[in-house]
Parts: sequence; C-alpha cells; structure tokens
Amino acid sequence: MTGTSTAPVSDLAKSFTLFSPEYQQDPAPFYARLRSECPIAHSEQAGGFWMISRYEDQRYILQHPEIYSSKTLILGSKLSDEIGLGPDIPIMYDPPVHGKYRKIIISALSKANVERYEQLAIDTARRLIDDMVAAGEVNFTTAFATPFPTTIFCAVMGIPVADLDRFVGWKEEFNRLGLSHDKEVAAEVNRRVFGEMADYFSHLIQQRRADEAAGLVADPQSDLVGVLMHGQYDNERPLTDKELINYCILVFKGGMDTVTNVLGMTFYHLASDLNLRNQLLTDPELIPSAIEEFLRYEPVITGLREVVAEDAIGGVTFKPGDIVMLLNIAGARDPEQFEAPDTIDLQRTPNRHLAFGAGPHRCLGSHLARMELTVALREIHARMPNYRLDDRFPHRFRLGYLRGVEDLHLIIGQ
Amino acid sequence: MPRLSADYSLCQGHGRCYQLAPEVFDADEDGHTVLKVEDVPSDLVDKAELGVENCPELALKLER
Repeated sequence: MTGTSTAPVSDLAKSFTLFSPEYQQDPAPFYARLRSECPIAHSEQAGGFWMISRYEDQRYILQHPEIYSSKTLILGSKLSDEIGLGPDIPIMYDPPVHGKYRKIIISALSKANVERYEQLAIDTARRLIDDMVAAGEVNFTTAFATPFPTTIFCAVMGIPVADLDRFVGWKEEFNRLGLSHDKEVAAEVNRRVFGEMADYFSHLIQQRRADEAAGLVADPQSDLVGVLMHGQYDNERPLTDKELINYCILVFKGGMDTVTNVLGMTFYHLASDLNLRNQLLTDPELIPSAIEEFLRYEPVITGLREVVAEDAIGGVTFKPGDIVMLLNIAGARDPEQFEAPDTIDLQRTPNRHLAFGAGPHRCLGSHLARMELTVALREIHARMPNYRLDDRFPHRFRLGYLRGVEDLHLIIGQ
Repeated sequence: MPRLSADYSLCQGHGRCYQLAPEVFDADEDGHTVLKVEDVPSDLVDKAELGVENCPELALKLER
C-alpha cells in the first residue's frame, strides 16, 4: 500500500496522470490497489480517461483495434500532425491501412535482419565499457545507456553518426515537454522539434536521391531510410515525401530512447541486487531469459487507445470517444497472469509479458531491442562484472509515457 | 503424437517461439511463425510447449 492515503483508490484515480509527482518513483503500490480494488478506474485529468490495470483486459484491448483505435496515442500533442504531416505512420493508423504501411519495413527489422548489426553493437559496447572501466565512477545513463543504442540506431536508420548529437538533443526536448498534457506547451515544442527534423530528413532524402542517381550508392536498401524510399504502399505506389518524412520521424520516436530506458531500469535493479547480478555472472546463458524478465518487470511504455465502438469490460461501458490508458506496469505485476509477480525471476517461464505490446501494433523494433540488450548484458558482465549503485547520488525515476531513471550513477570495480 | 497448431491471424511476429525453440519453430520473411513440425515427436514436446506457453498472443496450441 502507498502508506500515504486511506482514501478509496477510485478517488485517488480521479487526480491521476502519468506525471503526478507521487507516482514517479514507483507507481506499483498504487497500481496494485487499482488492480485489486478498481481494475477499471477513471481519471478526471487531461480530458478524462479510463485506467486499465489487469493484464487480461490490456491484451484484449490491444488485440481488438476495431474497437480500440490507435488514432489517439497520447493525451496532449498531435505529434507529427503539429506540423501538418498527418497521423504518425504507421502507429496512429488502424487496420487495414496500418498493415500496409507497416509491411514496408517489417522484414528489414526481423530477427534475422537485425543480426547484421550485432558486430557494430559488440564493438560499440566494448568501446564504451572500456571508457567506463577507466573512469571508475560513471553516470551510466550518459556513458552507456544513451550512446550505445543511439549509435546502432544511426546505422540501422542510415543517419551519419556525426549527426547523433542533434538527434539526442531532439529526443531530450521531445521527452521533456513534447509529451506534456499541456497542449500549448507540447504543440510549441513539437512544432519546433519536428519542424527541424522534417527539414533534416527532407535534405537527407534529397541527398540520397542525388547520390543514387550518380551511382554512388551500392545497396540503396541497406538501411531503413533506403527501405522506405524504395518501399511500396500496398504494392501499388511509393510513399510521398510527406509520408517518408512522417515515417522517419516515427522511427526516431520509437528507436532513439526506448532501449536507453530499459537499460537504465535493468541496471538499476542489477546494481541494487547483487544476487541478481551474480546469477548472470555465474550463468551467462540466463541472459535472454533475464532480458524478458526485466522487460516484464519494468515495461517502460504506457499507451492509450480511443474507443470507436461501444464495448464493456468488467461491467464498465465505454462509449465512442472515450480514452483507455493501459497501465502496463500494473498488468506486468498481475498475479492472475504471473506467479510471484513482484519478484524478479530471471528464469521465469511462461513469460507472456506485453512490454512490446500485442495485437497488430506489436513493437516493430522489438528484435533490434532484444539484440541490443543481449549484447549489452553479455559484454558488460564479461568485461565489467563489478559495479554497484553510487549512493552519493539520489536515483530519480520518472513514470510518464516512457518510464526511466534520470541518471544512474554507478561505481565500477571492487 | 501431440499436435501443434498456429492461429496465423493472431501471430504478430513477437518471435518468442523461434527464439526459445528453434528446433520446432521458424520465421517467415516478415518474422511470423512457421511450424517446422506439426506432429511433435516426444523429444521435442518440451520445446514445443515452451514456445506455446510464452506466446503473448495465445496464437499457438499443443493438443496432446
């Protein structure tokens, strides 16, 4: 229990948002009360929304896009449509249009295809780990969790790594205010950030076309920008420039920051509980299963759907236009689905976690994320086995749409 | 012999099955599941079960 209030949990829910200060460190105790006492709760904030906390209900919603549309994904901003690019492609579309956009890049992000980037991931990880070991005391967030996945993201996307700092800057601005429930604040930030990004991708695409025309590109479809430039919507037409730019910005939103936050939360738990860390040191074969468990225990993304056809769950009727928020961390700790859900069990099976969602919007980057996380855990435990939390620093967490730890300070060595 | 089946309308390409049990499951070009066996021999039943019980979409079934 939260220990701070004995009010009915349905009353506490009325004032809940993902940015409420009291839930930033650890929403799990509040979510546990919601799940057992009021599994379909209602918040009156940000225009009002339903809060879904049971695992089964979350999967049902994700698997029924004909009732629960993706046209609303966050409560404040219109995202890319702030600059007139339309809904984010493909994530804010519903079937069947969604699948036609998604089909263009699904194969490029398959498990088999992302393995092409494994060596780059290993080399990048080793370089960053050597620097951390030499430093002895590090901010893991800036020393590894940010540069590692973003460097690989540049290669996958086809962005010169020299431009990485600009992307990290855009990412930080977007995360800080672009997701705000204050529509005016979010709109102002997103118009600027996405405007700059649209200019960037527009130039990149023009340059790529010129290079291809001059015969300077050996394999035009070796990265995602190239796959998108040459892809066909529904096998009938190429994407327009507006669609290309929109799609590039969406891939950026999905790919730049998610693994950073999973790494931060994962290493927070590993550094706080040496028993967990020692299990990985003793048996590195546990790493793939450990990754699934950290993804389950701390799913970083909270998503929304907009009701488009009347439906009822658990005796509560939803009307078209209603918003449902899927409290992913609540579902991930649901004892109806997971045995001993509050325990991190690195060998957990079955583990049907929904950290990458479910239904037609299953995270397209999930195979890339798993590859990156596998390399990170393997290389760090092989080369930097001794690390612990640096208790001189507070460890501040955020809930938001993308959960994470702000700065994770570690001491490396004995 | 236990019978393995997939509901391809539910499979979304999470890849948990072919990651955990590559002896039993494979991927098509888009990463959706492909069953390498349908009548599962006894030495692969545990592996098949591992794939089935970890599918987040409940798209796989093993009937004994």
